[in-house]
Amino acid sequence: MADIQITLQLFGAYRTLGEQLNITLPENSVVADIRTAVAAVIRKRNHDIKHWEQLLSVTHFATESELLQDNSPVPNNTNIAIIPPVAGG
Amino acid sequence: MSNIFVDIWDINNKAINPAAAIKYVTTSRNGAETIFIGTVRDHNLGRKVVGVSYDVFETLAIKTIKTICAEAQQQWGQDLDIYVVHAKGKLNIGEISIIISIGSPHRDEAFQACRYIIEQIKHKAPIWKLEHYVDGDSEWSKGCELCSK
Repeated sequence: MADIQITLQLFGAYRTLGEQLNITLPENSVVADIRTAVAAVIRKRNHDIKHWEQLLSVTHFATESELLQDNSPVPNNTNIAIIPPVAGG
Repeated sequence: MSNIFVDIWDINNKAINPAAAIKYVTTSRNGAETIFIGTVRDHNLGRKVVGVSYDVFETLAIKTIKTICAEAQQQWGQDLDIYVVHAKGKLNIGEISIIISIGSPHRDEAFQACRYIIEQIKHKAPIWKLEHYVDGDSEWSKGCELCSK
């Protein structure tokens, strides 16, 4: 069983965690598992998890071409972007 | 989509120009041109704002906005000419964050398409706004959650 490696590009409020996160997930992970992995990073860094959990609950993920569904398989070796609530215009 | 122009401009390199937006949609077959210009205001939710920084996932933002423009053409006419540019980077008060210009044979379609595009961009485009306040603090706008669940 091979792990899935993704580079998670950070945007918006997640910029405070850096430009990107390198995340390893078990094979057969789904997109919602990325959210759990990000929460683990935040806990490890001793950030205020209550604040971040609220943000994570309204955060989604996308490739350069589409928004990913929570129950979709995580594409391997792909750049994925974190998409917190948007505020353009 | 040949009569659709969409781009994201780094405000440090290129200022958004209303004249260019109007020029793009002005043709002999159009009898109406509308324009929406979004600018940075000096207050939000009771706080004094001194500027904003826009963060953009460019590839997906451009694709999303082009899709929105195509939806507008489907609804109000394939002959609509549409020009959209959104800024990224740090903007001062009064600077243009977004410009949308529509050219159409008739005014009603031009007004409605313009309104549709700005509302959809606010809800769907992967763009984020960091507000800078007079007291030196900065805060990301709460924004709208995208729907993928």
